[in-house]
Amino acid sequence: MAEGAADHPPTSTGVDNWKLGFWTFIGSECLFFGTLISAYMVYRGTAVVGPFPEDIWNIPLTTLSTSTLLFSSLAMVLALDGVQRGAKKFALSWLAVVIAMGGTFLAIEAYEYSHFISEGLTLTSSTFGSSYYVLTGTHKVHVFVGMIWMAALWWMIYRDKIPPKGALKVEIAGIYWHFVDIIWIVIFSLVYLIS
Amino acid sequence: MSSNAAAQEEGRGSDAEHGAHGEGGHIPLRTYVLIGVVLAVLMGIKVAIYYIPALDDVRTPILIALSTVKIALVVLFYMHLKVDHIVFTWVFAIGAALAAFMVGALSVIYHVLPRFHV
Repeated sequence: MAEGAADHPPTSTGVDNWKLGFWTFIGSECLFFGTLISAYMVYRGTAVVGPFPEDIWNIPLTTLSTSTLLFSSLAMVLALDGVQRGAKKFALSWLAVVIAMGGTFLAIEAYEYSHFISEGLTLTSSTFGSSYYVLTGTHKVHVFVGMIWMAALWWMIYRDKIPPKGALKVEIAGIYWHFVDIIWIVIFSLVYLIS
Repeated sequence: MSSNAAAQEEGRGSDAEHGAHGEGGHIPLRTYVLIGVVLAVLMGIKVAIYYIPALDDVRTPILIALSTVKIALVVLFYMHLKVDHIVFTWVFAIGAALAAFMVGALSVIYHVLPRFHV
C-alpha cells in the first residue's frame, strides 16, 4: 500500500489509487448490504411460525451493543488523528479501544443469538429467521474482519512501521470501520426499531 | 513538458499539498468529539421514539430521517468526505443511492402497494 498521498506516483485523476479503489469497494458493499436488507424487508411479516420479532427483541441490550459500535467509530478517528500527529501512545490507546469495543459488540450479539436460538429462532425456522441471520451474520463477519485489521494496524504502529506520512493505511481501515458502523445504524433502525 | 506530463505533475503537487485528505483540510479533534456527542444524542432520541406509543404513526419516517442524518454525519466527518476529493463522494453516493432505491422500491412493492390492492 502507498505510504501516503504525498508519496504515491502521480495519477491521471490526481487522487490516490488505493483510496479510490477502496471507496469503489465501499460503494459495492453498499449494494451488497442493500440486497440483504431488501431480502429482509421483502420477507418481513411473512413468517407463519414464531418466534416473531416483537416476541424476542431486547431493545435495551441492542441499544447497548449499538452504543459500543458508535463509540468505536469515535475512537477510530481519534486513533487516526494520533497517527497523523505522530502521537504513538495516543494512537495505540484509541486503536485498542476500537478493538475492545468491536469485541464487546460481538460478545453482546453472540449472547443475543444464543437467546434467539434458545427461543426457537434458527436459520431454517422461518423466513424471518433466515433473512435476519444472513443479514446480521454478514455484518458480524465484517466487524470481525475489521477487528483483525485493527489488530494488525496496532502491531504495525507499535513496531513503528506506520509513520505520520503513512497515515493513509489507518485512514483506509477507518473508512471500512465507519462503513460497518453506518450499516449497523441502518440495521438497528429498519430491523429492530421499525416494527 | 507535454500537457499529459504537466497534468500528472499538477496532480502530484496537488496531492502533496493536500496530504492524506486529498482536497486538503484537516478535521480538528474537537469536531470529532462533538460529532460523537451528536450521534449519541440522536441514537437516544431514536430509542426514545420507539417507546412512545403516540408516535406509532410517524415512527418510521422519523427514524429514517434520524438515521439519514447520523449516516451523513459519519460519512462527512468520520470518513472525511467533507474535506476529501469529490470523486470519493460520487463513488460512494452512487452505490448508496442505488442500494437505498432498491430497499425502498422493494419495500413499497411488497408492503405498501398491496394495501391499496395494486
